[in-house]
Amino acid sequence: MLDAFVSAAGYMVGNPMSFLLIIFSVVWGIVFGAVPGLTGIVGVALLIPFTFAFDPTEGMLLLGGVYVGSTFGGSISAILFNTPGSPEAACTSLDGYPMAKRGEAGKALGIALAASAVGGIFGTLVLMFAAPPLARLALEFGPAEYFALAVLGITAIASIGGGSLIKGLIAGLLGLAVALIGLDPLTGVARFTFGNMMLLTGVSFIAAIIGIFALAEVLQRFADGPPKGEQMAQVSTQLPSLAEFLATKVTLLRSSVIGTVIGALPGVGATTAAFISYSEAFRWSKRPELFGKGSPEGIAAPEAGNNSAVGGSMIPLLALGIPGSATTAVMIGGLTIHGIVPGPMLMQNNSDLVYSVFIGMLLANVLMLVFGLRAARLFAVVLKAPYQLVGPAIVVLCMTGVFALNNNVSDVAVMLVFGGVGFFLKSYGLPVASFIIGLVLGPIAEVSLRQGLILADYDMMALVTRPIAGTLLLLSALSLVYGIWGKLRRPPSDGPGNAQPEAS
Amino acid sequence: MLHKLSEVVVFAAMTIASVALWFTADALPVSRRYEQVDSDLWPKLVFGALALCCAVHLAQKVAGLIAAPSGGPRSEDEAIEAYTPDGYYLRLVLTGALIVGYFIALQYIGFLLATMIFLWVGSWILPYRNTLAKLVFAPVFTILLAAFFSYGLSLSLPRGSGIFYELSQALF
Repeated sequence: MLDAFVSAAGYMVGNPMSFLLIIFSVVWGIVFGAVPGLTGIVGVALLIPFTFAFDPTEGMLLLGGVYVGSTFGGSISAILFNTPGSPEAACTSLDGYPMAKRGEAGKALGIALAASAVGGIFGTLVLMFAAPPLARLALEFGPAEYFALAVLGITAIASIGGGSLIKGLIAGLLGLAVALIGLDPLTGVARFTFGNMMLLTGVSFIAAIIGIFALAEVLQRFADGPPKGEQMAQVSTQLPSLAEFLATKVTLLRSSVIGTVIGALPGVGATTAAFISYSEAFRWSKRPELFGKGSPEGIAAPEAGNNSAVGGSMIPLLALGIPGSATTAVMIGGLTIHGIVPGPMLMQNNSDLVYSVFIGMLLANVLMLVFGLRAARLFAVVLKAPYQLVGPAIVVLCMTGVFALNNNVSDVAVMLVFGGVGFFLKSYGLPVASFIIGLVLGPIAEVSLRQGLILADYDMMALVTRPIAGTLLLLSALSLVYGIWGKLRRPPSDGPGNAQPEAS
Repeated sequence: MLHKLSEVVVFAAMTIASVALWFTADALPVSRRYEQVDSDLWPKLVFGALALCCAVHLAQKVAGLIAAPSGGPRSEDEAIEAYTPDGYYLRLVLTGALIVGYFIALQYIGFLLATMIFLWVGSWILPYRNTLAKLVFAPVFTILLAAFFSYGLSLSLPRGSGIFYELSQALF
């Protein structure tokens, strides 16, 4: 391993082009992450043809850098405009935007950037040193374990209730209900489509979150009337001080571990990692009442989680040849057009390539700190423009991005509907966080429960007593009890994620 | 008071809708192969729980209304929730209608014209004195965005239909 690492480092040092490619790809990724609807997948897909011009290692460095940059980029627009640039950044909006509205946009971006770098570096280090054992662990995950993992995330719904347990449950169940729309993944029966062909494929998640966050925000702010002395002028990005950084060390570590493990699981990616990291950060926080109101932990957790999932999702790709996320699925295309077959033999036959990618991803995370700061400053200049112009421009950007994603007007219609849903949730104090958690984890929970029951011969006990599944379910039960107990101890007005209409 | 009443109406509607959707799930086609884990298993769990939660919340709201029919003393959160600035609903309807209008216009008159008109009209909903900025921003933003998507990323934008399609073709 050391030989391969030294050889790869030698390749990188002797090939300045690789550094230029990493810089370009990180910037490209940040831009694609920050523009709503474009996402890292589109950024990677658009660059695949260009990898023909380079050797396979340079090509992979290019794609890996985009993946790293885009995962952070989504948080810029999430924090500044309540418009998640990519699905994995949706969770960052919940605390990033309230912090920005308090006049601490720079601090929020700094926390997101530092947490992204920590998570990204953690995930890459795990990828470097523990890819084979983690890949084997990922293979141990069957439907029962996926179900238990989804339950772990879903139990947070009850805790994130904005002071009202019942409202948290209602919002979460609404999210689970929306996730039911479309063809049943097992039987192929159309459910809750009411004859509408557009709904057969289900609700587009990207369109839904952009509607819920961005459109609902524009509607709310225009309905509230002229802005009265909003404190969005201070926009210079600043990394958190050492003391602030150390205050979130437990959250960062927990989220990085969660993100790496979830990233390594095929089929669940950075978005799930971000939401589970967020819900666990809330559950174990000493100040849970600050969540949803601009808590630094609420930004650090999802950002560390989704960026560590980047390294995690490369584990099954490189060690087993199975994509851990949608973006790595696209990256397989980049490898195969160069005649490289990802899988167990890759580490032996192409160790230079694999270790160059590891080093490249580490570098990309460090470079992200430099270029992320600059990019955030550039985007933040928009905050100085009047909202009378910025608001409609956000609507245009969202519609254009969502349309361009699949060249499909029906996705834009879905976004409009979810703009209304987001406004409804805000108006009646139903926590958006619970709704989104339901939407993300609902399909995983349903499919894995049903598949697990089939495999266990419909014996529920056999399903829940498998070692990993049982442990995860026990953790869910304990954390649920802990969450409810904590909620009962707190005064009823405290609570996270409660998107109350702000009387601005 | 109006907000509390609207909450009662909304959660009553949600309770009824959840029950109706539970029955919709019950009526889904039955698969013999997956009889014990059929398409209705998860939806029934979700809608059953949703109906229950909505009914409990509805009961709490109705009990609150009966206890304090005139609105009664409100907590700070309830006061914020119920607060609506002057002209709130008018601006809400105008903005909503404008966004829906833009969506429809995109399909008929294409991206360039629809976006320019939308940005111009949108900038007039809230008071803003700088008329020059309003006039200049719309065309500049539209052209830059169209150039970025069409030439920078080679992604297509809505081109409208009929004569507007021809116009978009000529402009792109």
